[in-house]
Amino acid sequence: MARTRARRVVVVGGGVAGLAAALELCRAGVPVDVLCATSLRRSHVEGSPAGLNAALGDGDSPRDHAADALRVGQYLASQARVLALALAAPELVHVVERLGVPLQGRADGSLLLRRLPGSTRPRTAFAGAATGLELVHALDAELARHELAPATDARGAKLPGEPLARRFEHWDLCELVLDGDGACVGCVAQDLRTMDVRAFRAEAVVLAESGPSLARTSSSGVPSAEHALAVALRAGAVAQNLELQAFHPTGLGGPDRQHVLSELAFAEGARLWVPLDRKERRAPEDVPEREREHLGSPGELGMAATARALVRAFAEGRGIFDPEREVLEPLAWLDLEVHKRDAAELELRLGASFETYRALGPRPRTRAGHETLPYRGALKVGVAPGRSLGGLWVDFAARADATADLDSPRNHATTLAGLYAAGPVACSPHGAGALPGDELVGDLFGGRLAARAAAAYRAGSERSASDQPSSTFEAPESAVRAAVEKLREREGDGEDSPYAIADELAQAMGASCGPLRDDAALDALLATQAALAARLEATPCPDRATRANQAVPFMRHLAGALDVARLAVAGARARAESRGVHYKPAAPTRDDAGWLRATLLRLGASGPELVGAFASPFAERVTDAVDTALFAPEPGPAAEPAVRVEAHDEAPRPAKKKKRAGKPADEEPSDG
Amino acid sequence: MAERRLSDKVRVRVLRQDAFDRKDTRRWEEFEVARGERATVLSALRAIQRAPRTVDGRAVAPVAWETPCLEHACGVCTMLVNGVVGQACTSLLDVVAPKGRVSLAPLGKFPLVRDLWVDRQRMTDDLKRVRAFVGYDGSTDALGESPAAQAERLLLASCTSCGACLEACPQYHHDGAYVGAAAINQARLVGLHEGGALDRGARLDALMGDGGIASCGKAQNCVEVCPQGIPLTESLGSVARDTSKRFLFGWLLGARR
Repeated sequence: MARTRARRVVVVGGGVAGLAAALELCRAGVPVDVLCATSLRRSHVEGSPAGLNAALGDGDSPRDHAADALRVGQYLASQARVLALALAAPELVHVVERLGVPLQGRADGSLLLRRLPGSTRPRTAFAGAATGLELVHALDAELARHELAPATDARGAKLPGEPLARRFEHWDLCELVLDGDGACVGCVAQDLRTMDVRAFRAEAVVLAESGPSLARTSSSGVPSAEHALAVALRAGAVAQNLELQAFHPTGLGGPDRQHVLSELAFAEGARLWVPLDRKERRAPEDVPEREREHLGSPGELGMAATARALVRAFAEGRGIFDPEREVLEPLAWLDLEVHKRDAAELELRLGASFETYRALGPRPRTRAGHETLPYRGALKVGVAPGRSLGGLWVDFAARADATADLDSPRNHATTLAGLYAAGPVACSPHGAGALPGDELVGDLFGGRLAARAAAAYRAGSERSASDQPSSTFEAPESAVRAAVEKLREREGDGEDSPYAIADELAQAMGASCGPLRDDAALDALLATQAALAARLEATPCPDRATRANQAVPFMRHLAGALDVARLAVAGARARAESRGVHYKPAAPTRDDAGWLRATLLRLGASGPELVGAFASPFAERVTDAVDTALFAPEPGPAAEPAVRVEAHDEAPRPAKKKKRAGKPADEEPSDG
Repeated sequence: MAERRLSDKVRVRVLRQDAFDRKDTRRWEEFEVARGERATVLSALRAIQRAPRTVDGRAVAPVAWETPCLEHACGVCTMLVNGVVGQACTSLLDVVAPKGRVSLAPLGKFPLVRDLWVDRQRMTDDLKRVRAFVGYDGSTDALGESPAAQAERLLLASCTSCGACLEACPQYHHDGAYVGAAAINQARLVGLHEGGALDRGARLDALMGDGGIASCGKAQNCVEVCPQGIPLTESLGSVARDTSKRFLFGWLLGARR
């Protein structure tokens, strides 16, 4: 077991939320251990380039920011929590600058702000096209500083040999350690290089790992994936809205994963379209404007509406015709219309987000050379899964007047005492869709809030993990060690491989639990998942090595991913409406009367269980209600696909709507 | 290029070793994978992982390598591709194996973990050694940096700690003192920030010490191989000038520390 006398808090995860939590704990003088399944500067938020939203522009206000965020989240978020983020955001952006992130500014010293889809004003501060990467690096450097500082005890005396912050890179969370009353007093983790297993004593544990990803060929990374979430679920924590997920209308495909083009392109006026002729053989730049059908530039509903327009178009048999293979593919053209603008200026603003595309992207059939893309010609894009919008249920302390109590130990507390969650492992604070630019600032805010709450819990708690007998830790430690050995030595029959099972799971999830959902298909998917779980149980371990064995953690993570995926499908099955990008043709509208509420799920002995109400450490009865006290929900988009009447009669749009079709409702009959 | 017919299969030779202390297990193994459309070295490694069998039909353990992001953002899949430092995720087989053969080996300047997986811990330690952090003071005021200063920092800030510059550097050895271009560039970057400038004296002292800027042999290999295109030689030059100034006039500026 890791020795400590410093009453430490453990943070699991080294992305923006985890590092923000660790730094906040250090600031409060609370010694912290940061566990990360990879090395710290690699955490995957790096793929999140958009920027940081804050009401810093002229005429903008946190209230407007919150109103936009709630509209894009389709009101499925705690309004007090959303407003608290919007109020904190301007200060957080300055903290980010002070941490060393080179946010772009103007000559007068103010920050340059971009207007991303969903925002009614320019509101997004940014560092080139790689804000997430810069932010992780800056936070990581700051943690290094605290690793050089000594920890102190309650009386302020230095504890020799114990730094304020310690980092454990390549350590993978395996189990939570609970005391006799079910409170979390530490965790067991494994060093993925030496395969050593050991317990960490902790006054509180803050989970800040990734959300569901392994099960979805999503744009999130591979190691650790949703394992922290699975570990917490197995310990009895409740999850929320696991069926909800972001889907990007800008998937580029790719040999190894779905690469996704940043929503930054839309801030620069990109448009999506498909040819009206379903057998269009011309290069995209040769198709005249009148023979294109635009699929809704992202407007006030953010990216979700656009992604949904694509989903619908593809479902109705539109797309791009591939003349070589004579098939219509579920893809659309993304056009930056650069003939109207300065390519050099665009390169400066967008270049970094196209790097991967230029290295690995498809070679579209355009007259322009590939090197000049995307500034000449058009890009082929499809719908790709993004970040999960569900995760562990976490508490939030709102006062009677619906304002936030930021000092409460209740914020970001899970259903287990002493266990906190922030970042993607926690249920998204943004609702059924995140306002582009809110994710990074939301992770930063959530991490800090969770850390403050964990510090308050540690200070207010009568007992301490250091009072626990060592047997509390030794038992789970040996259990994990035994499980690891059993997995490593597992023999099996046949040629089945955990990697094949993972591929099949992701494929099945993509086919039946994407943005388009059908109850019968979801039922079939639940059966498929059960079969895959049974196969995984019988699969031999492909590697017998006792050190740096990557198959053992992979199999462990895959079992967890299956558990999480089953809850997600159970949630999707339950939610009988269409909200955000999620589209159930059998229930095609947003149903606020029935479904403006959370989906609460738990991992029961026999599989996923829907939970109506439950008790948490700080509340005797938590329900699935969503608060709407501060902002009255605006009505959702009208019913689909019965749209033509609405588009022509009610929508306050000029007659030339075909040129700038902004809504999925603007459907035109194909005259091809 | 599209005219020439490429082979359907690619033979991948991998330099393997079971652990850092098992030099006796060092060996080349050869695998055959299909050349998929737009397939990369990473695709090949994943194919091997799914069916780890050598060309002579032996079932072996899957090849170990580090692979968090899969999209050219994190830098950890940096390895030697045909003996040249490169990243698995962006090395297209059509480019690195046009004739159907490619060899993969771990970076040589870092302690080996297993197969193609190396331990870059030293890079984190060296960032601490040269005090490459701004020392955030809790302020929440706007920074008000000029666009020119911001642009200069943005250019230097994209380092992913992939280690390519260290692999290519004739002066850098994992048991040697020299911290290399990555840490020195990061120190320069931090020094350009208002907060980082406060700690400038201590940072320059660290850079003047053993293994600091004086160990740079000016081979300029680092800037050639940096996958992020960071002007590393400019950073080395800038830090060299600053440390020289401090060496000559530091006693006059002593109070600024």
